[in-house]
Amino acid sequence: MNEPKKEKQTLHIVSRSPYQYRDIEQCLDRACDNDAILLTGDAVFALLPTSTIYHHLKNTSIFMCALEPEVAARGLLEQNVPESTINLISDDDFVQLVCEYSRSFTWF
Amino acid sequence: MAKEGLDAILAASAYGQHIQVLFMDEGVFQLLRHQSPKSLSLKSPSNLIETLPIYGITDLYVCEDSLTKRAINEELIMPGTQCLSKEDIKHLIATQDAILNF
Repeated sequence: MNEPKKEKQTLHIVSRSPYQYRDIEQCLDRACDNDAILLTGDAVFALLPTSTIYHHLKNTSIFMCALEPEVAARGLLEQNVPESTINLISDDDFVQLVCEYSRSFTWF
Repeated sequence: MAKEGLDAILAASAYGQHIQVLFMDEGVFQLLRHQSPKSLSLKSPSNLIETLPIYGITDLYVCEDSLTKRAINEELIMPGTQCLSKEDIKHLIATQDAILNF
């Protein structure tokens, strides 16, 4: 897992599908540069290059990560999820991120 | 948010927490005045929200962009809320100890 930027701020946790909800866009709109966004649950569908939100994820300077077990569970590891766009993290890494950041913000 | 959010706000305030409330995205509709959900046997959320200052919760904010996107004029929402720009909201989030979302 790549090291997130220094001066850690808010960890944004998004779990709903970008095909049904605009959580990721709304979150990206209000996240600071040194925040992180974690995709879990159906939010990992945002990683599909065909998703409407994909280009936003690709172009943001915010630290983006997704829970690897959730990505794997949905068969997306075989769907050319570009690792340069996203950091795939383990459940243990998730716990560590929650501890490292000053606060977490769960979007739903 | 509506009921669950208000319950959480009041519960937290009972424990002496300093609470700031931000209405954004679809949440801004709750601030519209003249809501009459009586025929649905419901209470107006804006009436409940207006009672918050009685409980010492006076920091009520609303996202300016969300209002603009929904063509809601500031005069249409309940008084006592402060409009925040995107940058203000980033700062507000970054200064909290904990955040609850409804």
